[in-house]
Amino acid sequence: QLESGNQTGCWSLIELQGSFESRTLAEDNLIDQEEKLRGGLIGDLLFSRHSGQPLLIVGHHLLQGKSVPLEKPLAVIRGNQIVGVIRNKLVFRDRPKPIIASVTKR
Amino acid sequence: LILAFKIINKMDTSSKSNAANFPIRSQEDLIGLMSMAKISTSEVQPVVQSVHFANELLDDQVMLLELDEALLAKLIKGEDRLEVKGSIDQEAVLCTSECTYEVREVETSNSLMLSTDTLMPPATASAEGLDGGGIQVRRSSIAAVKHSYAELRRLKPGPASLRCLLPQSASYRGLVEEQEADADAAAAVAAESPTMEQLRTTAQMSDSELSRLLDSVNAIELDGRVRLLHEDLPQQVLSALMSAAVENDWTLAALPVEDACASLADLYDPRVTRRVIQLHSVQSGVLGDCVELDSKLISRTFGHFLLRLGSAYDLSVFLPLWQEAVSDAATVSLDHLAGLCLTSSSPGDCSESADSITVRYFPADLLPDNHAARFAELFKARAKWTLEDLQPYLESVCYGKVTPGSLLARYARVSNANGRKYYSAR
Repeated sequence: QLESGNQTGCWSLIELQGSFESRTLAEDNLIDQEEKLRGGLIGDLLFSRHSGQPLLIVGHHLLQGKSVPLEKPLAVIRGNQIVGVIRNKLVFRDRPKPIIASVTKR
Repeated sequence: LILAFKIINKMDTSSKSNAANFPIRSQEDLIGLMSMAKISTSEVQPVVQSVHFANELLDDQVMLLELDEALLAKLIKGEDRLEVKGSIDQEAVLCTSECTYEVREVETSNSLMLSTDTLMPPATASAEGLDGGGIQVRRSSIAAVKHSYAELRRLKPGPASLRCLLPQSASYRGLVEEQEADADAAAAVAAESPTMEQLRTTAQMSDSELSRLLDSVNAIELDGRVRLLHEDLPQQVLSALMSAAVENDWTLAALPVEDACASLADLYDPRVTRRVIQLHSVQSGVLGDCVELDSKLISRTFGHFLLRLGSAYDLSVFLPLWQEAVSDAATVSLDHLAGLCLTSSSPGDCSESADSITVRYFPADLLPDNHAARFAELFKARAKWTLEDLQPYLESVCYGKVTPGSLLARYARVSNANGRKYYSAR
């Protein structure tokens, strides 16, 4: 049985508000069509030690998210086969917090 | 097109090839980034993942389909499968063995990023070699980005969609007509009539719904082709069967099938006789040697025949005429004709005496499937209806959450008279 989440090889879903063309993310110039084609970096995914809350650092923004169970499972279909089943997703919907780099480095 | 869904365990979105373009980020990079975000390593689970796009994105190759847990479980166990049905120009319809669904695409302005190698808690809670504090940087990849998923909406197929595939021009009329047809005519009929397998893949309905509807439209499979029986045939064959039963001392409660077909062989193709017997038997499925005929179905067939003959009858004329046609096979009753006839007023209304009630042919099958259009026709035919009278005309468009009650709430107005509820147009 295939489930998303805990093991490598299982399908997981991360939902980001807006598309990569959206203003917030594109502002950083980090995620664009070229990146997409060349296997570029999207961001760094962290989980809070205590609450397990997912955090995503994209460019100069910190996105806080949550793990949401899906109302109904999503089957991932490739060709004519079900290659995976997804029952939870990470959703990053909050307004991203800008990360302000320190002016001076010590 | 038949899609059989199977499960495979892994998809190869190996990140080996990605490394060549973008070397893995170092621990220092990440710790620096985290400190700018005011996150200390002690606040996070040790496994940190740098999420990249895979080198080859599968956006166009992968589809997301929302399924009920119950259906999904059956598909995974191989107890059922989802099949695409219909012809190229039609909207996509997926069917299991029992149910029919239309496929609708749900769009979102969000990005749905799919990955096979992104870890989630609790797998991110521990890392080898790290005890308290410290992080381990892993690489994960996004195999596809979707902006929509597909959902299934249950459909209830009605006889109309089947009739489209079974032309009247190719219907089976009788032995004489079949024998008199020349080679060209016979070829034309064959060309217009689908094989069972063609029907199974082009009719946008599940196999079990197809089976049920083939019975309700009186279709027959002959010489590998599926055709409608001419509408007069069932009544004619039944009449002949009933005469033969009297002659041979057979009872309709235990009719010997082979003998019956043989006794009618001069008049009717035995395969046709068999089919008519099957369509009127109490049990569904394969015919046994001895069959019990359903008196209500016999009554219905004769009543249907009479209704089609005339435009309207006085009920006081119709009932005896009908009873005579049926003789001892059944005791006729208007409820045998549910969904076939309309009386000029609802019997049970005190307003008219039985003599002035007329009955006319009003088949549910010819009503539009679209709900609004169906109600328009119904209220045009009769201004006020009781729920009991309406039900046979709503049955074919109801399924699941779509109940007669929910339809009436939407399309009808309710009023009270003589202690009974009546429904009329809004």
